[in-house]
Amino acid sequence: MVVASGKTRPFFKDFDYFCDLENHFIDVVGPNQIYQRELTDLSKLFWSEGGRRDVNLLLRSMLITRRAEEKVFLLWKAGEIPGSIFSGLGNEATSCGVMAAMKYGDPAFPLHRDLGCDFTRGVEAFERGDIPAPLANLYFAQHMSKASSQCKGKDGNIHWGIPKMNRYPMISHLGTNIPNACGAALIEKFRNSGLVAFTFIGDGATSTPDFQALNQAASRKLPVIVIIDNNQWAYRTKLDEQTAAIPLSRKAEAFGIRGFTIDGTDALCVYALTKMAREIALSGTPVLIESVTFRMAGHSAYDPYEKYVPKEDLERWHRRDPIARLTNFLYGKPNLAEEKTEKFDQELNEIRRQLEKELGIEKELDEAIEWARNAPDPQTNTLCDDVYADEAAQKFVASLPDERRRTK
Amino acid sequence: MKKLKYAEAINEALREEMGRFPELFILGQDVRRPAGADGAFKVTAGLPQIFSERIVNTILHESTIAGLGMGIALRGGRAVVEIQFADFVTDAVKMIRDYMAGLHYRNRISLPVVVRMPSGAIGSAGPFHSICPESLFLDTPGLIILAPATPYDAKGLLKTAVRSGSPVIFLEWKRLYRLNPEDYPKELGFEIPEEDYVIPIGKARIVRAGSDLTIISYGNMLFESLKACDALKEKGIDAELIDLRSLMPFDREMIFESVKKTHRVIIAHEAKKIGGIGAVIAQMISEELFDELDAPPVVVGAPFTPIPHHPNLEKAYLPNADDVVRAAMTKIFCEKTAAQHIVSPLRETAAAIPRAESADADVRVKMVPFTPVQKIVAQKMAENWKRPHIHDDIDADVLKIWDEYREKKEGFERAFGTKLTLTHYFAYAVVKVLMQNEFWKFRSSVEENPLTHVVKDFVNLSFAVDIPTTVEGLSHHELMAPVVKDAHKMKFAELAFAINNLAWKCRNKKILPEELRDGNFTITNVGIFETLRGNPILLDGQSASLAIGRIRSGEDFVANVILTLAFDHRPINGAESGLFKQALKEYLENWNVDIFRD
Repeated sequence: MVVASGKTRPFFKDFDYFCDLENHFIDVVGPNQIYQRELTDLSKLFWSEGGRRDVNLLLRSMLITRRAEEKVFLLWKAGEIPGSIFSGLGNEATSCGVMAAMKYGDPAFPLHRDLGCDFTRGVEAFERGDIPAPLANLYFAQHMSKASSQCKGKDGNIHWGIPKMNRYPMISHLGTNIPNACGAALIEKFRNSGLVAFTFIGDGATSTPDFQALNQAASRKLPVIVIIDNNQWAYRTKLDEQTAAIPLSRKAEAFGIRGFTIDGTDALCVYALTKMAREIALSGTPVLIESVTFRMAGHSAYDPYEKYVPKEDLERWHRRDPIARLTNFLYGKPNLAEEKTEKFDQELNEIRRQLEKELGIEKELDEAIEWARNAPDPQTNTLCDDVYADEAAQKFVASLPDERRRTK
Repeated sequence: MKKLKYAEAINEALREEMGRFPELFILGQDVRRPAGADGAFKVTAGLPQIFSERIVNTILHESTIAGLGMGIALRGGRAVVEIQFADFVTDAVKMIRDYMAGLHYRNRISLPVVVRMPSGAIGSAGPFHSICPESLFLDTPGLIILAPATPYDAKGLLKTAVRSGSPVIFLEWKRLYRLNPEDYPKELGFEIPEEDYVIPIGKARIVRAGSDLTIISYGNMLFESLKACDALKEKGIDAELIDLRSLMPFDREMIFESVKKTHRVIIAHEAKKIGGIGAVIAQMISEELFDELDAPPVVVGAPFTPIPHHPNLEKAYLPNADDVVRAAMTKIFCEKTAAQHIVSPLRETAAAIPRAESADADVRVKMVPFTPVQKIVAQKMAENWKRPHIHDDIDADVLKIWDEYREKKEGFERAFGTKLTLTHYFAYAVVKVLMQNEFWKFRSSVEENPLTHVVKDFVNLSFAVDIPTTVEGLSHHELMAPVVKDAHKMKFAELAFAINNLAWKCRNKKILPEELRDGNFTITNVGIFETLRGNPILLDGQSASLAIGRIRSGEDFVANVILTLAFDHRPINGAESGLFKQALKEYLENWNVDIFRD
C-alpha cells in the first residue's frame, strides 16, 4: 500500500488540524517520534482492481448516508420520529472510508456519527441475505422506532446493532465499545480467523476510563483498530478543553501502539490508511487512528450549535466537505477553490443531485421511508418481552403482577 | 458422590464447562499464574495448565474485564470473568448495568457472560474488601443474580450460569471458600454427584421445614439463620428456612407458599437492610399477601453504615443468628397484638369447618362458627344481661352543635390532623357530666358479696366500633369497644384524636388487648346507621351506658337526638338517671366549648 513518500519532518509545535494535514498525515512511530508524512498518489487506488470497486462503494455510501440523514431530519421536523436524531454531517469520509477498507467479517463497533458504516456494509449484507430488507429500510424503521425495526421500539435512532452483519450496538456512555472490540479481537485471534475488530470513539472518549482498554489490546497484541472521530467537539466542549495532547494520535505512544492522524474528510486517505492499519493490527500491533473532521451540526438535532461553534470554523471546514472532495477528485466538481460559498454549494448540490439520480439513491430512500411508514408501531403488550434471553428469568418477569398485563 | 470445599466446587464447575464449550474464556486479574498463585482466592487453580490460551490475565480495569467478556460473547463465544473482590466491580458497573444487562431487551442479543465476584465480609478486611454487591445490580432488568451458599449449589448454579444466554452476576462468599465440608451443618452438607448436574435459575430450596415462621436467607447469612432456627426451636417456635440461592429472579412461588403456611416472615441477609433483596421481598409479601400475615414482614440486615474495620465494630455491624432470634421475638412473637390473638384462631377455625364432602350433602346449610370476638362478646353479653338494668330516653336539641360541627370540621382537621365527628361532641359532654360530683355512681362499678360501690374518680370512656369484615365469604360486622384511658384529663382535640386513633387501630388489626380493658362508661353512636334510638347492654364492670340516636334535622331548624341511657338499677335509681340525662342535655344544648383552644 503506497500512502507515504519518504519525505518526513519531525513533529512541530502549534499543530493546526486544518492546515497541517493537507496532503499529509501524522505517523506516531515511537517516543517523541511523531512525523508529518506526505501522502502520495492516492489516485492509484482508483485504478487498482479492488480499489475501483471500493471507490465506487465509497461514493455511493457517502451520498446515500448524507441524503438519508437529510431525509431523517425532515421526518423529525415533521414529527414522524420520536426523540432526537444525530447527524454525521462531515463525517461520511471517515465512516465510509474505514468500513470500505475493512472486511465484511471484521467486527465493527461504530458510533452515532458513523451511519456511513451501516450503509457501506449494508450493501453486502443485503446481497448475502444477512438483513431482511435494504439497509435504508431498516434505518428509517429504526428511527421511527417501529415494531419491525432492529430494536422493536425498545430503543431508537442510533442505538441499533445488526450482529449478522458483524455490526454491534453502541450505548450512550461513550468509550465503552473499546473493551468490547478488544474482546472481539481476542476471540478472533484465538480462532485465527484473520479478522480485525474495530471501533470508533469521539475525541471526548479519549478522556474516559475505557480508553485504557488499549493497554489490554497492546499487551496481548490484539488485532484491533480504534478510530477517533475527532470532530473537535464533545457536545459543547471544545477539544482544547478536553486534552492538551494534540494531535490525539500521540496518545498511542502511551499504550505502545501505532498512532496516525489523518484528514478524515478525505475518503481515499481514510481508506488507504485503514487498509495499512489493518495489516499492522493483524501483525500484532493495535492501531489508533485519529480521523480529523469537523462536526458540521449540533450534538443532536436539539443542539443550537450555531450559538457556540465559531462561524469561521464552520465555513473553513465547509470547504473540506467529504463529498465535495471525492466528487472533485472523480468528476472535477465542485471547484474546491471557489471563493463564493453560494457558488460552491450550488456546484456541490448539482453534482449530488445528478449522482443521487444516476445511482438510484433518491428512489431507494423514498421507498425505504414508505416501507418504514407502513410498518406497525410496537404494541404495549410487548413492553415486558425480551428482558432476558434466559427463559426462566423471562418467565419470572412475566409472572410479576404488574408486568403480567404488559406482556403477551 | 464426594464432598468438596466451596472453592473446589466452583473450580470443578469451571473445568467441566471449559471442556464442554471450546470457546469459553476465563478472564480476570491474575487468573493465570503459576500453580499455587492463580487468582486472589485460587479459584481458577490448575485451569491454566489445561486450557492455557483461554485463561486470560487482564489489565487492572474491571470495565475492560467485563467488556472483554462481552466482546467475546458478541462474537459467539462465552466468558466467565472474575472480579478480584466484589468491591471493585463498581468500575465495571457501567459496562454491566448499562450495556450488558439491557442488550437483549434493546437488541435481542444473547450475552452468555458470568461475572464472578468474591463477596461478603471475611474478618477485618475493611470497607473495600468486604461488600455485598447485590444492591448495585438488583434493580437492573436483564441481569440474573445468583448467590449459592453450598458447594453443591455453587457448582450446579455456576454451570447453569455459564449455559444461560443472559449475563449473570455470580456472588461467591469468601468466608466459605475454604470451609471444610465436614464443618457444614447437617442440612447444608450436600454431597456432589460424579455426573453432570445443573440447578435451575430462580428456584429456592427449603433447608428446614417449619410451621410458625418463614426465614428466607442466602449466602453467609444462611448459616446464621440456621442457628437462629435452632434457637427458636428451643423457644417452641418451629421456623421454616429457605435458601434463596437465586436473588434475581427469585422464587416467588416457594416464598408465597411458605408464608401462606406460616403467616410470618423474616428475610435475613448480610447486605444492608436498606435497599436489599429483603426489602424487595418484604414489599411484595406486604402487597400481595397482606391478608395472610399475622405480623409485619421483617428484614434482618446490616446497618446503614460502611463496613467498619476493627473486629469489634465489624462484629457489631454483621447481622447474626441473635439478630434473627431477636427480630422474631420482639417484632413477631412477643409483643403479640390483640389482632394476632384474634385473627389466627379465626383463620384456624375457618379452615377447620367441615366442607360438603359429597353431592348428597345439603349445600343449603353451612356451618359457620362465631368469630372469637363474637364469642367473647356473646358470653359477656349473656352474663351482663342477668344484671337488673333498664333503659330510659331523653330528647335533646343539638342544633348548636350541629351547626358548629358543620362550620368547623374542615378547620379542625387542618389544625389537628384528625377528623372531627359528632361523636366527639357527645363523648366530651358525657365525660364532663360524668365527672360532676353528684354523678359518681355512673362512673362506678358494683362488687357483689357484699354489695359495694367501687367508686372511680376518673373516666375511662369506652365506645363501640363497627368493623365490617367477612367470615367464610359471608359479610359480618365485628364489634369492639376500645377504651380512652383517663378521658377526663383530655382536652377536646386530645379526646377526638384518641377516639379516632383507637377506631383506626381496631379496623386495622393493631389494637392491643389492654386497649380493650378497664372502661367504666360506654357510648354507642347508633345514629350513624340512622337508628332512632339504641338499647345498649351494660359492659363488664360498668354501671351505665349511653346510646346516641340519629340526629333529626329538618327545615324547621331543629336538630333533635334521642339519648338512651342503660343503667344498673341496683346502684342507680330512676331519679338519678333522670338528673344525669338532664345535665347531659343541658351541656349539649348550651355547648360553649371552644374546640380549638380548649
